[in-house]
Amino acid sequence: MKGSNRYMIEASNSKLQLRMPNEKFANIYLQYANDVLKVCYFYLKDFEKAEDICQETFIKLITTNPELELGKEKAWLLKVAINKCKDFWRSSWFKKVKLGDDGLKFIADEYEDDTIKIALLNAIQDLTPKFKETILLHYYQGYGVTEIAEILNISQGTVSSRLSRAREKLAVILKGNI
Amino acid sequence: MNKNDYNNIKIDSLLNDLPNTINKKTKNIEAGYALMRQIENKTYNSTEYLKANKSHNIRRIFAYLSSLCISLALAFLIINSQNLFFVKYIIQKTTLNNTVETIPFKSRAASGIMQEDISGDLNLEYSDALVITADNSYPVFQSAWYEGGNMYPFICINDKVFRLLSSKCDNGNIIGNKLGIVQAYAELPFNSDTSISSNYAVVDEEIYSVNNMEGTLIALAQNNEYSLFQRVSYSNVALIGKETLKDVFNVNNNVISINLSGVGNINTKENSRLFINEIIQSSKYISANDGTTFSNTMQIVLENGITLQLMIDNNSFACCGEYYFPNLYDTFISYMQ
Repeated sequence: MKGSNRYMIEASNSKLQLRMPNEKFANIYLQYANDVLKVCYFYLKDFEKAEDICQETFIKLITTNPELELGKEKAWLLKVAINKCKDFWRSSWFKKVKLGDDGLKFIADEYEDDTIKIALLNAIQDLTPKFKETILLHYYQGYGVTEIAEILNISQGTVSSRLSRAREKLAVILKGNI
Repeated sequence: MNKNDYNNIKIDSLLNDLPNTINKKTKNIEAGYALMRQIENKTYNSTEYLKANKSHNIRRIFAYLSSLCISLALAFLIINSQNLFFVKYIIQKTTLNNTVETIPFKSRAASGIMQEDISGDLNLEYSDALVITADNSYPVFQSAWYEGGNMYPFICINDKVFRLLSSKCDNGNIIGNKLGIVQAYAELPFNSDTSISSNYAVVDEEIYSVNNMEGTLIALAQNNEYSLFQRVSYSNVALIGKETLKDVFNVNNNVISINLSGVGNINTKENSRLFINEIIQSSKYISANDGTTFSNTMQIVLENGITLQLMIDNNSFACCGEYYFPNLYDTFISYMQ
């Protein structure tokens, strides 16, 4: 079983029945929409676009109504959202306008010495997408290597390697900034 | 420990604290109800979906009707085929535009209508022999509230605001206890030091409760009839104290029909009761929004002749405050059948 099929048992054939019941959608949205939005925001560094992709992700959830294993809803949503972020990031339009270059920059709190934490957030922002998504899924969303491999549809070895290399890159960036 | 080791340990501990750091720095980023409504608009409340849902049900009804007609046709052809040629038309009536269409003999024969059902008279008054209804009617938006001026007519009792309905009541049997008299004129609610104020009622006019609808409706006695006021929210004040939706929307199973503008009607008492019970049990309070910007209405007709109104916006309705009710339109349509 590959890719999104890992989380899906079977989809209905009827176009009408395919749509997820509104109540079920509302429950999933209220539980996971913030996580999806924040991951998209980190990925794209652009709030409006992140909101668009969050919206597209939930529209896909409703219209395809995948039968997800219990507890796998968030993984499915993040997989779809990250793929949409990737598509957007790869798009010529995005490269042309370079969205976010001047967008998301975290600023240290005036009343708290969180300079190093802010430096870390900005360093994550500067990582390339494949490292950034791995770091976010592991350290922010708390997924293990196996789950990240399923979400990103890559091998567990690749996930481990990306995590290790991402940490090294972050160390280099922080060393330069701190 | 060399410098690289120090950096690695530091980065690991920083990364382990990443959820706290991100949540703290992105606390203003929230996927709220506005985004949720946008998603619902593009899916559940899209015209295509509503039409598809409705036509799905209509197709099912027609499938049943077709089966019945075919059976009747076969029976008719076998038993009474010699009389077939005396019948020229059947009548089809739709609630969409109240037009009457005649269907030629051949079509009628195919549909298997019994001769006695139409008895040769095409006058509308006698044409109910066969009525095929297609309830695609879209009632015109009509507000149950009395409209007037910049600020609607209200009575404010102890910070609870009641809005004037357009229909009056001359049935004294539904009027309950006297709640008090109007003590002051006020242009706006809460703009008075007295417990009962109004921009509509005259000072000393009497206010009464309405039987079985305390908290939801009040009646103002004027010239041997009663003006009725429905509880609403105003200026971010909705529920007061321990009030719940049931307290401010107390219809007490007395609903006999409901109209949702742009959609249609629930016409049976039983379905109306079930729908209202579902709303009261499953709605979640969102805010004190008064719903004045909402574009649809739900009018609830009660046994005592009174019509109440809720403002509707997608899966939200404004009663006394705004409530979220998942799948509002689909649920309503399911009770229309």
